[in-house]
Amino acid sequence: MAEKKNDSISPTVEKVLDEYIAVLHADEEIDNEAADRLDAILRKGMVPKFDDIDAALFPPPNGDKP
Amino acid sequence: MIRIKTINIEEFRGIRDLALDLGGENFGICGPNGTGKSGVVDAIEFCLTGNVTRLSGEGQGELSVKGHAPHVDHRATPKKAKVSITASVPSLGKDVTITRSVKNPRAATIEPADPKIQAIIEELQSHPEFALSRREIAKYIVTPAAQRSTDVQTLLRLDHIGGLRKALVSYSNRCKREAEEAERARVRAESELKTALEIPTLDRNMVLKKANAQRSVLGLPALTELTPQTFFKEGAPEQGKDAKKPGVAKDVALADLTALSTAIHSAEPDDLKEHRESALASLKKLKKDEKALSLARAHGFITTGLDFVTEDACPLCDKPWDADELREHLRAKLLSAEDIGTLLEKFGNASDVIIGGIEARAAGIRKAAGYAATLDPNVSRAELDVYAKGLDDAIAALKAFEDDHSQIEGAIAALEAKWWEVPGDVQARVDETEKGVKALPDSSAKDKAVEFLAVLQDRYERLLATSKTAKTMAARNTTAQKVYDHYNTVSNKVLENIYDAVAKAFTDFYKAINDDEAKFIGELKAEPAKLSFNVDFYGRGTFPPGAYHSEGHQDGMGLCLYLALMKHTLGDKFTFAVLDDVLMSVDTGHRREVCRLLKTKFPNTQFVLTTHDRVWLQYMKTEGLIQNGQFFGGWNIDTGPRIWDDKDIWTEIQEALDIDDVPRAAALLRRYLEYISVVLADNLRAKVEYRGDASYDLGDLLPSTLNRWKDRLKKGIKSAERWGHGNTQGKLEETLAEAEKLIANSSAEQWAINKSVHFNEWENFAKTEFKEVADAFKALLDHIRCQNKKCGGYPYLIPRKGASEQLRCSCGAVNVNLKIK
Repeated sequence: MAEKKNDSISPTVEKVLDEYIAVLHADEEIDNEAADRLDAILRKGMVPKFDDIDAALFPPPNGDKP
Repeated sequence: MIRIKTINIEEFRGIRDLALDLGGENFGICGPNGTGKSGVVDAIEFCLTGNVTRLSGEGQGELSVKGHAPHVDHRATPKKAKVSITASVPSLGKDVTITRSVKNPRAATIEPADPKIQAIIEELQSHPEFALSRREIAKYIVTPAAQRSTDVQTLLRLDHIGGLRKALVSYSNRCKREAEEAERARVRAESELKTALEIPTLDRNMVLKKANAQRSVLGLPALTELTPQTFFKEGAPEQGKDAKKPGVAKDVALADLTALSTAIHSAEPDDLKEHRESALASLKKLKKDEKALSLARAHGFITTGLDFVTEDACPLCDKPWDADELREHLRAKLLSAEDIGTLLEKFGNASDVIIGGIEARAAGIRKAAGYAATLDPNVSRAELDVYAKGLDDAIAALKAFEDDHSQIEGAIAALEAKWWEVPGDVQARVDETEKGVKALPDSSAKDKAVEFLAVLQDRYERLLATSKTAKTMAARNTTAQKVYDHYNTVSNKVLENIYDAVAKAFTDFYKAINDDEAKFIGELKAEPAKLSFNVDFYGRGTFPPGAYHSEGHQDGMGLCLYLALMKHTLGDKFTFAVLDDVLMSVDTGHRREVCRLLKTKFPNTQFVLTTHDRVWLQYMKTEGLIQNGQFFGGWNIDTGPRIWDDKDIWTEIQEALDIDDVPRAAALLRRYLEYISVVLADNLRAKVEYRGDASYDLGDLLPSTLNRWKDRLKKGIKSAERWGHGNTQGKLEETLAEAEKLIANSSAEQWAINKSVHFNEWENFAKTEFKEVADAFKALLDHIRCQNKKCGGYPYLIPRKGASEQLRCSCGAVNVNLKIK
């Protein structure tokens, strides 16, 4: 959410993502930080790959990072 | 977005050297076909985007911008073909000059080099739809629904929404698959632990009881609780005499082999059988439908094909077909998307259970192979490994179909194979292994206890690990499904709102240009992979635009949908559009309304309009849509378009008088009065004597029109009087008095009625005499015209049929109520 404005996505996509992040935040079973990380990659203007989404939702514990 | 001030074109397409001054305002370009109008449109598109759709778009084959954008004489010197545009950028309050040469179409010179301006030009490049040509209208109207979905989504920049949806569904599908695999591994680990313990259900107390029984044999203290950290072997000696080469735990091995043999000799479990038959039936149904093994893949293709069947021929190979027959043929090849979805879902549910069963069998066989290899003398494990490999292949085939539906044959083969019944040689090896294990000497009670605890430890730890993985995967799957479901719900809602808003704007625009369709509605409905577009047909229902509406109406719809889409996509940024011969295709009776629509609904958009109809251009002028335009009077390959300026008629008349050319001035006035009489007669619904050949001359139109003008003013006075609007009444009376005076000054009736006069007399006038006539008509027409300079249009009556209710201009400055109390 911090970097919401991205020229590479259209206003319509931005509208979808704005509403989407609000719904994710409202879902108590979804971690807010994970939702924010997912939001960030969706706003990059590229279609994310499996690993990108997985890393956003389930980042490895600190000790597992390379 | 920008507003164009000037365009300079050199050696581009059919143009040698042309400069146009648009002044940032709406601009009309008029000329017969083949005079270079579209060359200007191409030049604008090229300068702003580096591309020319006409040369690079769909179906253009061997054409290219580099090869064919330069003037034909400069194909070898593309650097001479260049276009330069100066424009204002309203949002920044700055001007910009963009220059682009065909030699390097991708690199435009933009001055000043301001990053904000650069960003705006880049945005224009991403919106080549600012130029709409007549043939592109079809893209939005009579195109197949699937293609319309793509085109509209592209225009609305919605394709990324679909891309994100695909990424999230793909993520959730894979998470689901991995969660199922993890759960199956957990179930197998649990089953193996139960086999080793020889207990039917897993129970903490039972596990401890079995473990403690063996521990007591070794004189070890009993374990009191079962935790993930429980170490069954705690205090036990190393396994066997040679710890590096553990032997077979005879009892456990026999339990494993007995379980395998029992499973092999039993009939296929009912649950498994039911799922296998269900999955097989689903796949056979898919395959049976006209060899629709690729149906899931080809479904979209056939659906598109159905949309393309508009004539009595195959749209792909042109083979003659009766259109209705062909449609039936294609439909027969299709299962509905819903049916396919149901079949695939059935298969998916069954497949999960089946794969679990096959994996369990493969694990049992591999375990037996391991025992076989450990025996001395060993039993050949080759047959067991081949069988296990076959089971792996069956699993792979089922998974392959889930990923690619064309892999149906392999999946059917896997389901038809009687993998539950093992081949004779495999059965023989299993029996030999079981016999070999049974023949092993019994270990001492203590060795047995050590072996048992070792196996228990191994299987317990595996169950813990697989349970942890399964739990993690299940949680991940739950999140993945939610993340996808939320996205689906949100994006569908946003898209539905967008389509509703676009459909509403479209409906409003279309009604504005078709006042006889007050109940008209347009509907945009998103369906999987297509966007349906239906419109009302005079209250008889909604149908695709091509069903009943005329081509002219369809073109009007195309324009309206384009405007609605652009308005929604760009909002305030919709400051510029090129309509190339688009208005020409709109029904003649609706052109004036189109002008008003563009002028009133898009006051901040600069339209560049081309037409080959000069009357159309005059309509645009009299409606105040454009102030300036350019006539292209001819073209030849050496000089390019021949142009002449479309100056204000009164200036043009004055210029003729300045050189004492009264005949030319008279001809100009005559021609203009003929034109403007048609416009006013139409606007005011003048009562003109009907002629079947529609050949009305000035004498037919001008007196009736002027009388109608006075009559409508009188009616306005009467209305104001009845409603008690004294001020309005007074003003209208002044206007009427002025009208009568000016009409008298112009001697309109005399010039109009006396053919011998109006054909000859003006030409014979002295310059000063004719000047008086021209000035009188100018004053008369200025009096009728709206005095607001931003409008300047001629008033018109609304509604167009029935009793007149209002006399008004586009801006509303003229607004006379004609309803009588």
